Amino acid sequence: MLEPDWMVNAPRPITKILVANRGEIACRIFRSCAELGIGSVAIYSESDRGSLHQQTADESVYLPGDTLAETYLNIEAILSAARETGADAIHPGYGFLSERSSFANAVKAADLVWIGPSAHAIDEMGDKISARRAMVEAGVPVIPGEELPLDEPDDMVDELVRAATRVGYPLLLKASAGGGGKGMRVVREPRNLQREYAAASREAATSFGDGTVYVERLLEKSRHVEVQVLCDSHGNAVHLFERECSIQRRHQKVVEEAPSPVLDEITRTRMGEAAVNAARAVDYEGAGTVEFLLAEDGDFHFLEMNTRLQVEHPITECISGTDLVVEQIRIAAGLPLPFNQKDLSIRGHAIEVRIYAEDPSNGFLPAIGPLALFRPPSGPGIRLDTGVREGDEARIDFDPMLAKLIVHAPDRDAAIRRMKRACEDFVLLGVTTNLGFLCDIMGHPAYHAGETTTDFIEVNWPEGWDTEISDVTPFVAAAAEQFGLSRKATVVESSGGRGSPYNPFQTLRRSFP
Amino acid sequence: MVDLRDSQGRRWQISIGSEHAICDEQEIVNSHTFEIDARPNRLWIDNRLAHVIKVGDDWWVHLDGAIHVLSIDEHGAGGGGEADGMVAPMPGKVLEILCQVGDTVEEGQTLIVMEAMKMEHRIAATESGTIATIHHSVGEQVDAGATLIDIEPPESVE
Repeated sequence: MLEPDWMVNAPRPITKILVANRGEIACRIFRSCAELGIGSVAIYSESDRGSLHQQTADESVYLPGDTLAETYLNIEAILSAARETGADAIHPGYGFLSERSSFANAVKAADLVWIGPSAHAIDEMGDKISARRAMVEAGVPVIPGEELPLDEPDDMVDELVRAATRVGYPLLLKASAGGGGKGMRVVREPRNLQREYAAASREAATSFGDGTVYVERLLEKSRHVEVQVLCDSHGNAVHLFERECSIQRRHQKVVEEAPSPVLDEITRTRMGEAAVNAARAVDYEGAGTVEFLLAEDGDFHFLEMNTRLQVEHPITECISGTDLVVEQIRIAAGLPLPFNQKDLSIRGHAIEVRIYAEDPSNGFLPAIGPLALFRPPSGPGIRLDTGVREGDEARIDFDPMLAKLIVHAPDRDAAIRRMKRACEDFVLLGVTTNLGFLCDIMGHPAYHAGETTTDFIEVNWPEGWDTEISDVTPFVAAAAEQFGLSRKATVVESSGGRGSPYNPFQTLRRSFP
Repeated sequence: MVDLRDSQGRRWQISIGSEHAICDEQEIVNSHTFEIDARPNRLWIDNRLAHVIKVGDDWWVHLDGAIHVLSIDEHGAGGGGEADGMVAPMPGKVLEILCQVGDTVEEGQTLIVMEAMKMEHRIAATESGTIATIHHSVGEQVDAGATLIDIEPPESVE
């Protein structure tokens, strides 16, 4: 397909995009490339050979090495892959190098278009301390908290205790450079402070190469509400309303919805304006997300700004009728936003659930195994963003998120019903997933009532979650074993004649494709 | 006869074609009707469609919107298992060992910190007792199900 006219005439036309990522987000970006007639390039490591993302792109480049540093985090190798394939732009996706200003700079230095914000914006927002300072200056409300100096490790314990006392319990220890729940620890009592500090700073050091930790008051019964913003290089900035991402486990999001079930029009407008101000304060360019904690009384505080596309961006696309990846590409090509704030409105309600290979009945520990049967649901208003398909394997080397299931419906009640049905229809066998748990969230009266605070899971499943047991499925398994259904194709010859070891009630259904 | 264990550890003995089955020595009437069709991985039970697939010794069953795993029990193999071993719940790396052989520990006490999928996981004692053996050392990669630590239950004191 040919490129649209707007791209041909853009200040910085893009003809081929390399996606410095893997999994579902790489596949998601490749789809938009295909629709725009833009070429696409995947990079892949040994363990991603033959993966969906490698095969979805027009071209792919193999990056040798066993570690992330040699592959998906290898700036040199990624740039030479772009040169080799003639890609003229790089999209970082989320995670990996998406929030490394050094990567943004390297891409620009290599004379390639960087599909993301400036290195300055990434640095300002990536460091929680400078982000706080910038927000205070821009008049955006922030949460009480303090950073811990690390240069004098011996004085650190006293410093830590003093800072914790000033901030107050319960508190949250966060990696300064962190995100995604890694390096984040809740401390409810002073006696656990040092142990949790050690764990947080170690996780921070391994995941981000920076052990600096930030102490912050934990605001309970609060909601995690974030606002999507888009800013072009011509000084235009809009917000695309909020997403509520309160349902989390281990500080990682599980269910997200848009719009928030509790925000009134006035708060929505105030929060949207605060988000736009936050973005403007760092001269933001591209798609970004400003996260807020919304307290019970309607007050909200700036949490952080994610200077990249978010995992949960599809629900915003559903309710706003936009394609955020296309907008990112347009902005990177130097084009102005095709709409202003007045053009945007909320249409219906959207929910996303993250399907993780994990065991919700055992502390959400990651699970591994083959995706032996993978039959996603279908129907109106159902979208699946996946990086895997039947026959793939959930492995230990990457995050356990397999896919995202998204529904869009005219209102919240219809969206919940649609999501519950979609989760029930999802046949995903061979590896333990959270699908059953997601079904139960969708069926929970507290979820229907919109009581989606960040402690939703702890409050509603204080003893943990377990699957309901079934007295029917053992019979299904026994019959499957007896009928030899483990074989590739089930061939049934006739209803009798084999000494009939089957159930006397059994009838045979023969069907031909 | 098929011997199965469900996710709750209940043991089932079911013969398709017979009108009764046994679950944990309790007799259960088998009045189900099964149908299979020419497509693989599908089985109808009482006119409801189930999707099934066998992975290793486990049958994965999707029925009525829920997923269940039933394990085939080798005939005669008793339940039990290693009663006093603590096993790795997932593959990963041992980061820290917080106990020594001979230590007295209490149920719920953190004994090992593991790392898997870039997250830390605390492995707590499954029972109170004395540490008898530590099978792995810091930095070692362990498989899911690998025994990490053996705990000897406390001797009863008169």
